[in-house]
Amino acid sequence: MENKVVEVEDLKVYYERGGGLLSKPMYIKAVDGVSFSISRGEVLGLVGESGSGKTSVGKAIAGIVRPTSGKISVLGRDIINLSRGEARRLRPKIQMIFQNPFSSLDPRMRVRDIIVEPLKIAGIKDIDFRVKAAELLEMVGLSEEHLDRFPHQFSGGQRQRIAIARALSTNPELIIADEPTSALDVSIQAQILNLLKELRDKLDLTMLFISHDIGVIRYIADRVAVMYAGKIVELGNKRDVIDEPLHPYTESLLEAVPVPHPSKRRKETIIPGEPPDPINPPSGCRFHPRCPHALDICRTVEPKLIYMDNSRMVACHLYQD
Amino acid sequence: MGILDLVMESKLFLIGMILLSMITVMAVFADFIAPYDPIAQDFSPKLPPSPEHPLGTDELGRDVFSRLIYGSRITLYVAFVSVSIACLIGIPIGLVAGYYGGAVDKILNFAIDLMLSFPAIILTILITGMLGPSLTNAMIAISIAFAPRIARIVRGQVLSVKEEDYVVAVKAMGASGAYTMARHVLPNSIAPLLVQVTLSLGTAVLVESALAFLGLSAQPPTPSWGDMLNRGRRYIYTAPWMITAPGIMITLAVLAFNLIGDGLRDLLDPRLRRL
Amino acid sequence: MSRLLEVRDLKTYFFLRKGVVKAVDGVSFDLDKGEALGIVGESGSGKTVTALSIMRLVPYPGRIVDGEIKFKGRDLLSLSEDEMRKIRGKEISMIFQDPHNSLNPVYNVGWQVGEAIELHTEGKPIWSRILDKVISILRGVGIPKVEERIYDYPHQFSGGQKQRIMIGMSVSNNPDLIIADEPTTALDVTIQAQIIDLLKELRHRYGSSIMLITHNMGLVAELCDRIAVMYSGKVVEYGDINRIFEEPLHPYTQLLLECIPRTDRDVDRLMSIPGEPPDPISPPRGCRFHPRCPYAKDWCRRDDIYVYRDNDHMVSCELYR
Repeated sequence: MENKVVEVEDLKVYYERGGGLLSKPMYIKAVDGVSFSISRGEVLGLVGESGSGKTSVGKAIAGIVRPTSGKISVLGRDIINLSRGEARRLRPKIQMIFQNPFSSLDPRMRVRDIIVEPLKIAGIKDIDFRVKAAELLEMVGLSEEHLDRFPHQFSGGQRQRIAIARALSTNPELIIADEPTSALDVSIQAQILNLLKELRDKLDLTMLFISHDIGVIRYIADRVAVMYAGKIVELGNKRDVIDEPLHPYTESLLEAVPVPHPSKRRKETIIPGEPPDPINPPSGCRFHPRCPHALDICRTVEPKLIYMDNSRMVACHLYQD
Repeated sequence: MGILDLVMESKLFLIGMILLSMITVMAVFADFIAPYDPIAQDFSPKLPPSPEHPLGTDELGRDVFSRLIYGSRITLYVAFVSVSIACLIGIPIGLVAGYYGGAVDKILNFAIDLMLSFPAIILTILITGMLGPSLTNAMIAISIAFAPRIARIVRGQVLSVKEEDYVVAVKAMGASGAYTMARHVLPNSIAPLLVQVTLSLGTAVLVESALAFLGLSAQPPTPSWGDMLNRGRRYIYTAPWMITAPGIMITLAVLAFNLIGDGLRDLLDPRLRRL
Repeated sequence: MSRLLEVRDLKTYFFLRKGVVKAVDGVSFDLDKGEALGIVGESGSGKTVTALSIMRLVPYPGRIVDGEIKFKGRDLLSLSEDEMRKIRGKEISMIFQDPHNSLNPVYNVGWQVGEAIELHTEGKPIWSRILDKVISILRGVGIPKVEERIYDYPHQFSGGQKQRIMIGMSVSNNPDLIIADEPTTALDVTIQAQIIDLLKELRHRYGSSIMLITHNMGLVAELCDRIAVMYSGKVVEYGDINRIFEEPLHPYTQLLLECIPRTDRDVDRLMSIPGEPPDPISPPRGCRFHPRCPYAKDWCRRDDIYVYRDNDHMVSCELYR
């Protein structure tokens, strides 16, 4: 389809752990069969707890980790098996914003070089890099006077602005934002979220926004995919999913978030237990050991992610027959 | 809070720098400082220290003070040149091993382990023994012995730096390995390397002196501290000044490098800088 | 209710080479028996240093320079180190943010919990009795199969379980006050909810007071009776939880609540607080929030900022003069 920017099909990312001459390696199944797509100008929020595999999905699309299997295409082109030349042309069109602004900028480079580095790597030569860098800085709410400084001279929020400017330098088709505000204080988080929202409207950005914070996802995303133990359990428009969750995990996740008002204290119906071991996930539905509604079938048969209506998908036996 | 204030605070680093500057001045201006020709056998042998010969003369009637001053040339020259060569060999090996990992790393790391299982001094004696005793061969030997040490430090540093998000970010932009290493990984691995290189310079002084002591480095009549030590050993009871003077100089030179190395370690430690 | 803790005009400064950081600069609040107080603020606001000051564990080069900390009628600041040691871990205990670093990896957890008890046991410890107590405590914080698991080492437990063990250690001597410093920040939301419920339950079971230090307004709303909002080393607003969430008076509190992305409603544009928190070495004169405050007037720069009091409610702001 023309307006699909990214299409991910049955993506699996396994990490090898241990293993030597005498022992077989174990596989951590970080992402275990994930499919979704993002349309042009859309922000897809990927929400999940640590170990759910959400960051690995982002890294696989950004080309940082190699998928174990599955297909990722950007603008209809398979990006897993690219030749060197194609990679040079296509990779800069996918940009990533990292969680920790203190480690995502090279401490030994000046801001002006950091921002335009993606352009230089892409082999662009015939522009005035300084002018371009100044333009980009302006766009993220910093100014030309910051060009010659080093990262350590900035606060966390300002560094994240620099990282955003860098990500915008190539006019990317897709921006992958991996928890871009979770290292920041709330007041600064709000600034960065508002900046991303403005830029998105102005530049018609397509984004994969990864976060553990459902409030942040609700604010910035159009659609949301909920991940649990390497799988997407629910996917749909953000209001549908967050206001009326179908999957029991989504429901408990939402219940667990403390609402900043004492009149809205949680009912004491928290899910017990902890997320499963990613090396030996439970059979059937991976959430069944913690699920308050688990049926017999949940222990043995893995539920498929099926359409509930034309925009909503859920993977749960309660909704399948 | 400038870097200069920090330098002033670190007294030991300052002492190290002053010592090293003194030895460097000795080496550079030897022609002006030394009162006599270091090779000329112009005087009576084994004269005790006196106003004319502040450190006496040796068994061939050469002025010990002048030889000491010229000896600093050999010492510094060998230390700097051989450690530089060691860096030229060790840095790329460490970079490649750490950055690419996998089989390449396993092989290189095994080679490094193998080399490091010999003490530096034994390895250098072995190599100079095979190549024949000369100044050049001593430097080659020291370079070979030190390269794996440098490589190991670089590898360790690269292993941690390559996990930093800014390196990952550059990879995600489609940059090549060579670009990433040269532009991001290496510059951020320099600090600990600098410490190790400085400490290596101290060890190199020691190893060179040991080789000279065994007659495996610069050949007579070239003045070198190790050689002077060896000669002095025979007359330790009759002319103790012959062995004392070069002994003290070797100690001071090694101390200078070690103090600077330790000082650098403190200066480059961001945890300390924040205070 | 009787007063348990009274902090008056506490000042804790850090004497650095580049200047004096007034981390806590004139902080006052009270805590009653059985009450839960939330201390909220962003990073650098001085909330953790306040807690460490109460424990008298301020790290070098910090020092408590002024003020009074009255605990059960005794002035903690005038006690000898020996007397203070008897209070720590027995009458006041502390739970730290990172459960992964708070347990010693070389001892099994049963031994470590036992040690916490033994340290405050008068006379010769009877190990069989301590062991019984360890088992009952760990069972009380929800560790399954306690009899076997007390011989396990910290790395064999998940983050949530480690935090449960830490909480078990902190209640092992029936403390009057538990100081919890960001106890759930390192944990996922579903685990966070479990830990908060555990704290609630223990509070009722043991009648301990809780001082919850956090940046998360939601958690405070969930658990606390009273709240102190800190900004740049000072308490800017203090009072009853319902009142402050219903009608916050200080502009900082108002904005802080507005800039949290909510899960329960849509907002078009998040409020954000412009600028960054002040440099702790040379904070602005007068009200430290005035450079970022939308209502700031000239007189906000005066040294004696107006303190409005209404019963137990306190606001330090010129708007209410």
